[in-house]
Amino acid sequence: MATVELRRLCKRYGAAVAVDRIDLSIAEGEMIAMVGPSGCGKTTVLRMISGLIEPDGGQVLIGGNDLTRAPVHTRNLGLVFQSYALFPHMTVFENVAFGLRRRSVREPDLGRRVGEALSLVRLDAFSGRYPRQLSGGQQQRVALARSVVTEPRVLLLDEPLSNLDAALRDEMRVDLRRLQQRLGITTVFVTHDQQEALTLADRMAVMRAGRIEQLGTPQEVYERPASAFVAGFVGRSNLFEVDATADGLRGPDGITLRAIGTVRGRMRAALRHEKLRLHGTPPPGANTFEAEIMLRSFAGAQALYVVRLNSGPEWQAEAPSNPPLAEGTRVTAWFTPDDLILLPLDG
Amino acid sequence: MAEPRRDTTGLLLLAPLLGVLTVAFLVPVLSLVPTSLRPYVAGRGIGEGWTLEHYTNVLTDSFYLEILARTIGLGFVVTLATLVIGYPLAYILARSESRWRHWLTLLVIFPMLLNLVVRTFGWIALLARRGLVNQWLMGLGITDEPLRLMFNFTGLMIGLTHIFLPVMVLVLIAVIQNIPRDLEEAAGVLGASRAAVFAKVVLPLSAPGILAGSILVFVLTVSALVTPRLLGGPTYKVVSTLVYEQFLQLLNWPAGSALALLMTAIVLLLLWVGARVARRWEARE
Repeated sequence: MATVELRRLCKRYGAAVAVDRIDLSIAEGEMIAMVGPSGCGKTTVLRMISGLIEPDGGQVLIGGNDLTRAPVHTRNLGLVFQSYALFPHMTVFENVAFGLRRRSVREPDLGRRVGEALSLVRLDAFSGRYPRQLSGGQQQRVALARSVVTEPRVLLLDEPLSNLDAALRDEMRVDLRRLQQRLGITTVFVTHDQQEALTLADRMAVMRAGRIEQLGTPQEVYERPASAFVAGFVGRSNLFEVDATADGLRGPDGITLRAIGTVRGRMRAALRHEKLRLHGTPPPGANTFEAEIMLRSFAGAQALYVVRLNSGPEWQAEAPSNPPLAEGTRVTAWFTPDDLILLPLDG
Repeated sequence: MAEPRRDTTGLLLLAPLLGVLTVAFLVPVLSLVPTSLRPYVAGRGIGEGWTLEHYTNVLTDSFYLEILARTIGLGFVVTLATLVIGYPLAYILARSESRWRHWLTLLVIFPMLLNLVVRTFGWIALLARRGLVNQWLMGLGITDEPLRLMFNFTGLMIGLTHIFLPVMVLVLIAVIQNIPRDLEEAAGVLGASRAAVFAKVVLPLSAPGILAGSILVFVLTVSALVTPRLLGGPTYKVVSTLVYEQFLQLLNWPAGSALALLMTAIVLLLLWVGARVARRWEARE
């Protein structure tokens, strides 16, 4: 277990900048998610921490030691690949034992530690199987056991859940969090799935074009996105531009809005889908609109609606699916001023 | 009752190939069996009656035994040489991300596009007593006397290694490309040095390619005719040149048949042993 510190980390591929002077400090035992669209550089950061890619500039410090140029096999890290990368010619036992054997761990310690790691991921009964005889979820757990059995200082996960189907993913998500907390291991994981980052991470770093756009707890990032990009990437929002005028904020199609905070000139605004409410009575001071339900799609406990406000803009809303609102129904749509997130125009 | 039908479908699909192999390969080879048991009458060829003398000759006469041993030895040495030279090359070509990769691969295949006789004459020009290699060696003062590089084991080994290297490289490239790079990276992160990554991951996973390439090169080497004939000259013989001589120069078909069949049996035995060893090696890893 150790801290991880990245200092002005850079990586270029020809003219393209994959990672652009990233600074990041990760505390001992913390679980950090790097999220962003594909090509934002998040995997490159992970691979530079692991040593599989050499940075063009900057430093990687693990436990306070500069390991920027240290060879991969000397770093004592755990890395779970998106593809799991299990050795097909070795049994589950030998896969998990691989790292221990490289460290000259011998029987009976070897067998005991492999056994412990396998029971940690509930695969005790599978040690004699080959990877091809396991399901995707089981392979994933072998990969996890293999990377924690050596007691690495940092655990790195590259899109750990993306190859699993939805039900299994939820199960593994819980398993992963429980395992990480039980081992108290510093963990960095990369995902393009914002839901995964929100539910798993202590803090998340939202990346865009090689830079960290915002770093914070999932709640901070969700409720106070730093830019329209973050608001659009984490959670679902209605994004639009607003103008400050003498009598308040003017939104699209001339609707007037109330928000909290000072507004100068033109700004971007974001409204989370679930904050645009279609049920209940608006409190005093709320933004209220006459709205018509244009489209309704059922999504279990919630339903997604497209509503037209004051015969003007069409926004999306997420509301409890019960009671249902049929298409064409007229309702009062509302949100409180502090639900409206104001963002700078650039970005 | 769908099961038996599937079997006949498989057989039908194989039928064209089996037919061709039977008519063009199995029948001619088997027809050598009776020929090999006939006596040889000088000047006339195949005689009357039955005899085992050709087999006993080959297996007791030191002249034949030496040629047999030489041929099989050549097979092993050439296989090993193509493997040792070809593996690093195949690995680099399989793992390279350079845009020159396809050109380099083409360069490996290129010798195969040239006529075998031309390639062999190229080696004669290089390896002859007054050839380029000897001129350089003497010019640089490494030797005073020209080295004997032709009409002996060295010459055949050099020539055949060069000619069959592309075969080995192509087989190995295909297998190494199928080993996911992730596996090497995973092994590295788990603490394996580059040597350990190679020994524990890359090598075992390329074993099928090593086996396939080795079998191909070995079989091609022990059955090669043109190169040994040209680089070995009339006196330094291998089994295939000997068989050729028996059939077409001495018209001793019975002895030639016996030699050819013995060689086939020995090669099949070696392949069987090789496949068994390789399977055990794979299973153990």
